[in-house]
Amino acid sequence: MAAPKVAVVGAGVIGLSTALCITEMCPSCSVTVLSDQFSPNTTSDVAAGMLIPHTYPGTPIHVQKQWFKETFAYLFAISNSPEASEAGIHLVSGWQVFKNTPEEELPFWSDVVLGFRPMSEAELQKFPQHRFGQAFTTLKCDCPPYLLWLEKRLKATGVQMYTRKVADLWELHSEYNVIVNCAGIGAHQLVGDEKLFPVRGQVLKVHAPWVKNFIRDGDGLTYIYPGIHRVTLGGTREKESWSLSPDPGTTKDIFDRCCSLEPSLRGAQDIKVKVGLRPSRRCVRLQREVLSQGGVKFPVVHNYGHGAGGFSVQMGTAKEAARLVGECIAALPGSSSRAKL
Amino acid sequence: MRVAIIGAGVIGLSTALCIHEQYHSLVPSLEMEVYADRYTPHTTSDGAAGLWQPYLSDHGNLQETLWNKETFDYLLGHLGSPAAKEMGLFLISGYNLFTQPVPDPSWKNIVLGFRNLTPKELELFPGYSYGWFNTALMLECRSYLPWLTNRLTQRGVRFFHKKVESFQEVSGDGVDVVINCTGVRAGELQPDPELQPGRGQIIKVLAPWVKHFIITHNIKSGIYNSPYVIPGSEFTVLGGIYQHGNWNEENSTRDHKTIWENCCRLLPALQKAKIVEEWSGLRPARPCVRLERETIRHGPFQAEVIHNYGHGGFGITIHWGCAMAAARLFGSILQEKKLANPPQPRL
Repeated sequence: MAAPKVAVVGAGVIGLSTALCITEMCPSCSVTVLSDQFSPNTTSDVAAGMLIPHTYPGTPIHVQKQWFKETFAYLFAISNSPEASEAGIHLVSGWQVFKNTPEEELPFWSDVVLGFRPMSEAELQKFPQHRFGQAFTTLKCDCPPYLLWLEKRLKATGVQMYTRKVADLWELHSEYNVIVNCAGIGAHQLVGDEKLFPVRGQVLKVHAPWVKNFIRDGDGLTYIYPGIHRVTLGGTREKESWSLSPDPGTTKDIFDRCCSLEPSLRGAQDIKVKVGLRPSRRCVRLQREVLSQGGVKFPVVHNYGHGAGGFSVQMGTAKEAARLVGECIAALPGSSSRAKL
Repeated sequence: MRVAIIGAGVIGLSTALCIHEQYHSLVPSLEMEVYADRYTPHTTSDGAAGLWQPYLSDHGNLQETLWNKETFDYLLGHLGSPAAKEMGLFLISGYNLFTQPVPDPSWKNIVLGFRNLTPKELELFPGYSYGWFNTALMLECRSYLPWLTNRLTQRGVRFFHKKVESFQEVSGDGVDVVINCTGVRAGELQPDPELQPGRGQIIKVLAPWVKHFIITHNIKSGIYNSPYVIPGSEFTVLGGIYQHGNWNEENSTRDHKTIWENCCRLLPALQKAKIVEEWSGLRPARPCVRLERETIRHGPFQAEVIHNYGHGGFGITIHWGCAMAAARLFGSILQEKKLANPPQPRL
């Protein structure tokens, strides 16, 4: 058969990293990315892109850890290369502080990040309202640069990208052999997944270049993440809120909370407010499905529902999705062993 | 009583402020003047990246270690204040790298979170097999010196753009106490063979993705003769030059090449960084800081001189401890002149 045609729906961090893995694992495939939004207008562009995993209640911890390890190793290598600045990937050190000592003092990812250890008494003095803390070094994927760099790498391998709102996966069955659904929060409408729900996050992106360390409150609500040009201040976690409009009261609240962690932020300039809807789910939907209509079968690989943890597991889930695409291709009528995994 | 400070780098201005803060209310007649041939942004201090970090070994100079600690604690206390941004003061974490294990430094308990590097961290730095991680402070003099100048101006201290050629020039004019903060050119006021320039050169680049300082060490080449990368609030400083006895303030092409190649090998991402500026400066190197009193006589005139110079490549690191020590010497001068009882020692 002719080169299998794969369409990836979605151009956030998951769609683009999945497309990249597919081109690597299935070089004979023709891969196209379709999305109604591209950087800088994806959910990923709002996120800080910090590699600090979110725990999915429905996924075994060892699987989540493997996903994170693969992602960390992959990005670590790029951060250490001449491409790092273009790719927007850089190391950042800092502290996660807790007002009350957490039940789990050693998160599952503590040996994947660098230099993880409890904070010293002297370090904790900087946070008078907090009693316990962890210091470590991790990676940050700054967007838009990271997404633009992924797009550039994809284009270099011949991947086409089109702005297109896909209303129904069936639309694509005559043009493509396999669909990969990386639609993020869009999957709610696209495939009618009731288990997928938004967790609204509002953030401020400010100019405060003297902030070199990250600070995160262990409750996950207040965080300061220094990026290449801007510092991301957060945030909120509003379940089931679909509003993409910035709320001024929330802006003030975020700013105040961050200033109480890092007083020098009072001098921050040029405050930009952004909103993103984390595509949340008990577990990432990472599975094959065969759509069937009037005798026609249409394979789909789902890779969405990464919630607050998309950046941290991007490579792990992308590789698994690519593997599933390989299985779909092998199962296509008329396919031979040309579809290499 | 007239007090003249000669030198307007980090040492001169901080000593002036420290003395004025402690004594102006006790000595109503206190008049303070600053004389310097160079002001910010043209002083040696302005060229320094501004990282608080002493040399690896204090050579048994416990006094200097204490002054370093005083400075760190003083600055740490200012971190949460609204002035921090204006002062150019912020926390920064980073790496010290070695090719072999070394003893812990005297300042390991002064900085925050000092620890050894893990094997995985060392993978970032091929060629280095041992190292430290810690959180320290940056104090950028391009901001700090103007901040000090503003505080002093508010206090009525006057500034004169003038090259002072001799102590007598100032003492003969009726100045009672001279504070000598002339840095590398102190020998022009009074010969000091122990004071030598430690020439450095740096390249300033735009590399805002670099969030850590990285200081490499080569025990054979000596301090600062091994590449270092220090990210500031606007630019990142690349360096690694220390030439003892070299008075040349011109940039050297050969040194540029050394710095650039070594730093890019250390941090490959720097290859894409845009070069913004190049600068050379002379560290006022001395086996130990000269911080002491001297009475200078010239005919009928007599002046008390407090020397405070010779801070090498650690002036910012040690400045406040030295300013406090100089202020104590000033206090003893006042006592002798029966002008005041010194204030209670401050912490």
